[in-house]
Amino acid sequence: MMRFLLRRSLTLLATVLAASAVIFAALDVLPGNIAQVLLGPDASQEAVQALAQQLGLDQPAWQRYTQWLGGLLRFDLGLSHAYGSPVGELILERLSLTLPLALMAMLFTTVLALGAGVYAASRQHRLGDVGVMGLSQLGIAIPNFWFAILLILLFSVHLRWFAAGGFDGWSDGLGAGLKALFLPALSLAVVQAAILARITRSAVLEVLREDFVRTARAKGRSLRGAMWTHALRNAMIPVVTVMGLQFANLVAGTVVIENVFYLPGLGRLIFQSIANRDLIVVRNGVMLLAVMVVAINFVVDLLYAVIDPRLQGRDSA
Amino acid sequence: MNPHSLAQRALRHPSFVLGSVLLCLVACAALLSLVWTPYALTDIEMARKLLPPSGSHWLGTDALGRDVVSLLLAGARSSILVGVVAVGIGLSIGVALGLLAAAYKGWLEEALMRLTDFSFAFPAILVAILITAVLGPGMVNAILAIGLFNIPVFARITRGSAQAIWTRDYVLAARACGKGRWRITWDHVLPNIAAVLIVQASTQFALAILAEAALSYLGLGTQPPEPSWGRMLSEAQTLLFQAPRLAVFPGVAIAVAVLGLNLVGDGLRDLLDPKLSRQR
Amino acid sequence: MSQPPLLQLKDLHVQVRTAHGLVEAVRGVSFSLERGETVGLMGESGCGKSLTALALMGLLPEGAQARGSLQWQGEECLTWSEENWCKLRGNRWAMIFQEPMSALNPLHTVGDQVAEPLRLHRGLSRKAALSEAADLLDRVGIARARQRLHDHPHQFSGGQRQRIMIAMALSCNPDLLIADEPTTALDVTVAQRILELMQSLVQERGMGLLLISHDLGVLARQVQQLKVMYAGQIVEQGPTAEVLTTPAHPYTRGLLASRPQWLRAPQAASQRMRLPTLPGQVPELHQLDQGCAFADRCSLVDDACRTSAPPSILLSPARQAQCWRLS
Repeated sequence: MMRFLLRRSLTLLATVLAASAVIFAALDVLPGNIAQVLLGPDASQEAVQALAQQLGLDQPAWQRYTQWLGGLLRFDLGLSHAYGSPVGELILERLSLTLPLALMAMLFTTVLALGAGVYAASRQHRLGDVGVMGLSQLGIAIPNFWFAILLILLFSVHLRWFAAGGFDGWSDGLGAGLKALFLPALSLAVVQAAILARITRSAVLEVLREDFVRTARAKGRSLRGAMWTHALRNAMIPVVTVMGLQFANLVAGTVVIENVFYLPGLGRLIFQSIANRDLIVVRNGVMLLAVMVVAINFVVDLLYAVIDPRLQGRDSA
Repeated sequence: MNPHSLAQRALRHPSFVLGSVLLCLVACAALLSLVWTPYALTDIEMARKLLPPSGSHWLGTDALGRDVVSLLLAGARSSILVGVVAVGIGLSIGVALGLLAAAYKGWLEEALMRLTDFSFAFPAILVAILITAVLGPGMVNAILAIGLFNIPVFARITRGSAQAIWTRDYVLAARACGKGRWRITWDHVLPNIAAVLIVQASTQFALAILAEAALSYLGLGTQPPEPSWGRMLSEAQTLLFQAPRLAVFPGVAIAVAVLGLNLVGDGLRDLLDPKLSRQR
Repeated sequence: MSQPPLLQLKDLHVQVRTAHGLVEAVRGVSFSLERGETVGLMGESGCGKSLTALALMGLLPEGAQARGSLQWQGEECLTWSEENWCKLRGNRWAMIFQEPMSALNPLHTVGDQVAEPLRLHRGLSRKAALSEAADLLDRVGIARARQRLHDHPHQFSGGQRQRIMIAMALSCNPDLLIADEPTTALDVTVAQRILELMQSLVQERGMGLLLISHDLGVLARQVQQLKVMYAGQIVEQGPTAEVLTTPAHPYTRGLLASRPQWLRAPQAASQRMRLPTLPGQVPELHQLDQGCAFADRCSLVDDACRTSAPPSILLSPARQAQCWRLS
């Protein structure tokens, strides 16, 4: 078990390092002179030079890269050009919205998808199954931001149950904050839930065909009993893989959804910073998103080992 | 595989038929818009803005007085163009890389696999947003961005399927006859993985349409005056209280296109599955 | 006052769905099994023996349908609800399968799997059930049973897994054990030990045993009654020794004759002889028509064989065979 953990941790670090290199290359090396970009085409040469020196742009790329990495470790992420405040603070503030949003969306996704998937598998080829599969086809086909707009149309414009956007922070209490995140989380969840429901269904059906389910029934378990005690845990293996990938999609989806609902989250920050050419913020924000995704995949790998004892490395007798 | 029996089975497959119908609808809309739309797209008349559906404007008009039906027809153009070219890029480069990796193995394959695994850690939409941000908004950059994140997908699936073919007995026989790797790839590997690639391509096309819509919604994709369903939705959102219907139609269009592609893909997967075709 | 037999099967037909439509894979199988009796069901793959066994447990796969009469101690079973079946499976009857690796859940501990029927049918607590499971595992020959309760199937060898299956099957002291090809996936020496274990347990508990195999060697010394199946029907049945020494049905005779000569007559090994085989192949189930299913491969075939299905001829009180040429 320890060796497994160690190997996975090393892979995690390697991936994070590689990600940082790619992000740095994409944002700092390719666009050329950042100072020029920041100040615009009309700026004078001296101003550009001065800013370049201030930003340390006269140093070679690899040096800037290692400086940035060092800064990351010390939580010194530099100053935002557009906001004038430390990037670290900015990101943490935004994260207090994006993280709960992503987790809420993951919760909705899991509950909806597992419920629908198991239900469809138990009603295979009958109306319940066809219905769930049909709905999931629709769910996959609709853009999540359109679904968000439709939700706003129904719940904010017509029913006036929710606001059409915005987030006042957690200072008003947990309830108010969660309410503001409800529709955004739901719109993120629907598409992912549709995909996950299909996967759950086929995983459960696949497992139900396995010999050990027949053995369980030979012991006297009803089909339903066999499904819950034997099939589900085994079916979770492929399902958990996909859930890991889905979290990545959810996190990416926040960029779009936060724009739909005018939520001051990390995604929106990145997006606005791109518009502002505030590349320092973009670089760090994207790095954080990448780290979140990689960390989630790491947790998924660990979950595998917990679910499937065959991976724990104990040899056969 | 008998093409005649394949066509027959295709026509009886409900998913495939429905999907094809929807796709044809979208394709026809796009083609039609090249030569004719009910009203010209540049026909801006502020006096006619935000009209509800009527006899002369079947789906009404937008904030600039443009006919919604015409905009929807033209929007199909952008979506299909972006989809075809982006998937084309991903397909051609990705498949080539995958075939190379499966044929030559060794460090090339290792490197490719590490790269694709790594790129899967980055969600597609994020990559697209970054690239269009760095290179600037516009349809061309959107195509490049979407094409770029399609490459690892095709590379991986090609290499996976190709690898399985390389271990088959008839390939071993060909190699024993002295056939070179390139010839084997062309003669044996490619035809056998074609089915998998076609199905994947339809899935990726659907994803490309969704990505283009998202990018246009954010303002990073297709720019005016080129029409785009995504941008129509973004404009409609600002008018949600005055003209909610404007937010519905472009979304339906996107859903129809994507649903059509997904159904066709599912149908093709069933139809082209060699296990099924062997049943007499 | 005679008790009804433990198991009475009359005219069982099982239809399955294939690529060619609905096909009858079991075509009128009848037999009975008394308490404590050991019966062997022999046949090649595809003859319907496994389906017969699954029908006895009410575990036919999706799409398969059974009709006929199945009586368990006088009670008609085929019409039972699933709930009723569940109460008796693993409790009054038990079944073990061919592939011990895939028949055990890889994610559950062995202890939990053996304890499962105890918890289901006897309502034991987990602790009590596990304790009994340890005893059972010990009885079937798993060393250090108590410590190994928490191990998973992949940590055991093939032979051990089959022993675990047996322990699982016997946990609630069933009246009948159905073993479907229990040793096919095992090495010869291991298989022998498993068969001996099953024999001793069955005798110890006075259970009935239905042993299904395609291997004559497996059945020869394990069962009292032997039934030979071909193309969905029982073509010959009787006491094992009699069937093996004086086979009546041409199929049985062909099978026995195709065993290598030197097994029966070592001195003949020096002579070069061709191994006799049964000509032809088992017919496709959807291509069968009215005549005897064995007609195309039989050396004794005549017109009557091709036009109608042969009746069951009683050769002696305990022996039957289905062949026109025996009347």
